[in-house]
Amino acid sequence: MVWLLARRTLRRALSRTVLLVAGVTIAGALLFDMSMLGGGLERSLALSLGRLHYELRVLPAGTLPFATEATIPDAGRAARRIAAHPEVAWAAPLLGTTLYAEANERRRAAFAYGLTPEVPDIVRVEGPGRAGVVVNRPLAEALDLRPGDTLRLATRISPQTGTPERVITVRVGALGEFAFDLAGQRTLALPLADLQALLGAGAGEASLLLVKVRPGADPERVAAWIEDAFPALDALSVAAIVAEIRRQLTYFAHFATVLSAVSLLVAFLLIGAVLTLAVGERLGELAALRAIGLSRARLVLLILMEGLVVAGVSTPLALLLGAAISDPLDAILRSAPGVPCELHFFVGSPAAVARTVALLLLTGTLGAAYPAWVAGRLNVAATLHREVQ
Amino acid sequence: MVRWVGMLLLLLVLTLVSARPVAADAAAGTAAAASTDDLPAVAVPERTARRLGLRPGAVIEVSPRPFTEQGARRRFRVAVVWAPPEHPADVAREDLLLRFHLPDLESLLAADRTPVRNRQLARDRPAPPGRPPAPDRLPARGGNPAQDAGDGAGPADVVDRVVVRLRHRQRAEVVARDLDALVPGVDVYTAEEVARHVSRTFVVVSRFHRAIGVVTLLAGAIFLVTIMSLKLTEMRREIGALRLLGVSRATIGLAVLAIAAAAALLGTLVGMGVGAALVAAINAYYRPLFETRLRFAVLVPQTLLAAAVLAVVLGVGAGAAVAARLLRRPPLEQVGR
Repeated sequence: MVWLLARRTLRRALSRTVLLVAGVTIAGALLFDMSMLGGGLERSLALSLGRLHYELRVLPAGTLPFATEATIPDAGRAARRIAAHPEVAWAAPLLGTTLYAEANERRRAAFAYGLTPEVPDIVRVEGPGRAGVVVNRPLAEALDLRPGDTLRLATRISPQTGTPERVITVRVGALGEFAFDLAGQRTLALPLADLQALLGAGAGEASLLLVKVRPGADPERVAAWIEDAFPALDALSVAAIVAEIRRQLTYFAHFATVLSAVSLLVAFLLIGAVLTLAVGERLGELAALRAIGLSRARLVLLILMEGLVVAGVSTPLALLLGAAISDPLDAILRSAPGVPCELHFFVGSPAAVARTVALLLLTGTLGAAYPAWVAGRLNVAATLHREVQ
Repeated sequence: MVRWVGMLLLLLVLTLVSARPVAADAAAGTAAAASTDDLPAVAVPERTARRLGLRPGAVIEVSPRPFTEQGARRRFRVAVVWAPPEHPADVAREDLLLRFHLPDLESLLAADRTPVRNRQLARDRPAPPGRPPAPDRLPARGGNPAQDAGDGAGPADVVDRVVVRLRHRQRAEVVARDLDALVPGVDVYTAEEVARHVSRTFVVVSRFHRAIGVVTLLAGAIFLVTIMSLKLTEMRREIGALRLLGVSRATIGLAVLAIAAAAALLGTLVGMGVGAALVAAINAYYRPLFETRLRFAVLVPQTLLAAAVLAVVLGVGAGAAVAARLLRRPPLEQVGR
């Protein structure tokens, strides 16, 4: 009965209901987007890091991967010692730096990885690979490179002559895709020993060590052991890296919270204001319902139900609209410099959907609370008398 | 053509246990005045001084390597604690910075045989887990002096960049082109180019804010139109009565528009007050959080004007639509008869 009345009332003032649903839909869409944004980059980063098949990154203490020029001296020995731990499957050094790459009379700066064979997933080779360095598409396009071509790598350009110095010539083995490449970044990978020799780096110097723990082993326990054994190093699990960068993402978390609150406030005020005005118009009708035997509690329930119905109708529309506008918003933020291609700011999740649905339904019901209270306090006789004057 | 100022400022990231660039340790108290006066001086930004508990005259020990390792160490006297101009890109970073005289830093690194690596623009450090983008043009660089000067040598006369002050600022682009052609192996940027480069992130964030603003405005517009429609529909009896009394449609229509504009304007004023309070709250919260004097939210006249115009236009538009609908109906029907 109450459900039927609520639906009929909303249908009767169709244009008002449509406007109300539209307003709540847009507020709900914003709420859904902010649910995706708050922690979205963290989730995206955790997913991307989780796809790489090693659990720990060992770095000079106080740094993050490639965030500074800090290197681990004698990294080869440290890697061997870590690999000897019973809970570690393997440990491998990785070196990263910027080099000049020259081919076909063109020169470009490129980021170079020095890798050992056991390190998986950093680079995914396209097609059959041959011996040689792996280059990504932007570098291949910039220098017009194909597998089999030769490539000159240099650590510096002479300020006096403008010519590359400390040069090695390598062969392009394959094209590949690199994890965490920035948009348009030119990247290549070559054997670690070759890059160390080119840089004149000390024996075994590396930017970080990658550590794969054995199945069933606890990465956090291994990390704690590494930090005990090597006081100058930090061992970071995926969770620890995400926690380390959380402060840098504070802006997004807070922005999402503030905008979520604003969108909920808009939905609350809209439902509250519209239903309050609607109840004011329908006092005679509500008094008549009371007079023919509808209890006060059911009358209150009727108004609350109207708020809930508005929120209920708006919720799926809000989710659809939110999903639709999250893509262009994500594209805007991903165009910022320094954002790897595979990371996203707006990440949908069942939790984000559940949160949006729950908050919208709750807001719809709470928005109807004041008009319901007004309806509940209705003086039947006086109202009916006033209405027939 | 140009006058070299000859003052190069190197910013060093100080992670207390990092191997690069340097580690610093505040010496207990200040050593005897006589001996500290002879120590080389270092300038410390306010934020670093606060975190390390440093004051002018304090002595710190600096090393290019973590103190857990063997490496050159040198004592420096804090000559000044100063407030450098802040940049939004650095707000969320927790780096500690020291500013040395160039020869002092060179000699420290030389004593430690610290190799110099390829560097990126100091302000272009990507957020982890990113890395330096590989630009077409790298900033001016030195090489690897360990090779330049023979094995075992430290960095000799190698810098990341050189700052040039011009006699005629407006000729910056011409001079930059000349220097580019003159000195192979280095890239020359004007101050405007550097500013554009370091502002890219904030341009993106501004675009994002504008996009969110459009969505928020849409929600607000619908809110305004709905409320205005409801409010004026509520007035239908009064409108009917006025028409029965002989008041013309035009007069009633104008009155309705005036009511709509007044309601919209009043709402705008309240909204501005709420906005100003939010701006104040945001700054009050974030400035201490990030230990900065930068403002995180700013209310500018353009924003206020745009909000007021939009609210009044929407309010009056909604009022006009509802008034037209109401005035088409017979007066008796409006008063419910």
